[in-house]
Amino acid sequence: MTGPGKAPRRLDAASDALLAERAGDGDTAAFEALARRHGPLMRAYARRLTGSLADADDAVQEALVRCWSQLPALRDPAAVRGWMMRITARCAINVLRRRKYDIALDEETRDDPGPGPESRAVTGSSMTALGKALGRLPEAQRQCWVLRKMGGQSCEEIARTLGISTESVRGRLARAQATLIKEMEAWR
Amino acid sequence: MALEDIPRLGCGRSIDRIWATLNQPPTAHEAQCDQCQAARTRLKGLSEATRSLREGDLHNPALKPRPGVTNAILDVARAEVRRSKRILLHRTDNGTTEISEQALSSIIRFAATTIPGIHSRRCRIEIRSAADSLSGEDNPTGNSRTTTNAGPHLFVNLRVAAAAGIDIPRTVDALRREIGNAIPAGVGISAGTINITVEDLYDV
Repeated sequence: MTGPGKAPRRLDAASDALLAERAGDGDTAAFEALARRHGPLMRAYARRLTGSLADADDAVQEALVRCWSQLPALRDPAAVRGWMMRITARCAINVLRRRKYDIALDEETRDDPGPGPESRAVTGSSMTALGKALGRLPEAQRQCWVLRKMGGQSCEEIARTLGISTESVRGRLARAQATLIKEMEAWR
Repeated sequence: MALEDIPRLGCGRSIDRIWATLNQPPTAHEAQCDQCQAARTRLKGLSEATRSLREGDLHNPALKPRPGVTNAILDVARAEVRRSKRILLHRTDNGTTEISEQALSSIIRFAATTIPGIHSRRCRIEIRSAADSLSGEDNPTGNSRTTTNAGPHLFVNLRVAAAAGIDIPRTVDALRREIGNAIPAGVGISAGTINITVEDLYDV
């Protein structure tokens, strides 16, 4: 909730911890600031996990609703970003389970927005190659790889998120890495 | 998935192991093994591309959530806020006047923004409403139908972070006065008791 005459944008400079506490207290302006700050990363993360911007939007929407309802129980407000990303990952996986999604290469390519202009100028080539190689990975391997390398989750956390063993996570990660390296070498 | 399913190089080292130690100097074996050296070089390239992809996604305008998504979420949030705890402000024969705890909290938070060196955090409001004040010993006749003067007594419990180096007693007194003025000005009831806890200091 916004105070009388108070512009929500005033909260943009506030720390994550402050915003999380206030959002947990029911302050929708603080929650909006959190969503504005971390929304792009949530959508990018969900898009890499699902391979689809439409599914990513569904996942982010579901994740933000969960974040709002669960914020009062967040124990460490300073860690809200990682907490939001973990919720995003779980929602993205749920979207995939509901859809029984199986990404085809042509769909992946069509849905891939590609790197932004700044990034494209610097490292666009390897990013593009990696993005396309990720899209060709088997879904189970891609999920593990994105959760680990882009989301920073531990193998144990990934195992809980996906409902598989830690050993399976390690195996899928290693095979994903091997495939990605081959794909990128072939691209060069 | 069995561990033996993890791909291995011809020398027997697992890719998993090489990746895990990528940021460390190569072992004696890795320094002499062509396969390990090649694997380390390729994995470093993958690691760099991953970092670039992560950064690129973050700053890619095409990946920002659509405004419709954010607005839909905020609609949900606001709807929940509207269902939050209500405080009875006033009761007459013709009906009651209530205010949500969140609306009162927003007034308190806004008051806090006017005090330099203070960041408000959680705010809890306890009340003895007009109805409460008319029950039991406060209202031996049991008549709670009509009251035009008895308002709720608020107990505001606000937690704040303060800038390091400020005069905390003086600043908190100023905050209490600001809240004490803002609530009557905003909703027409007395602020009651205002408890403020400075639970953290932040660097300016």
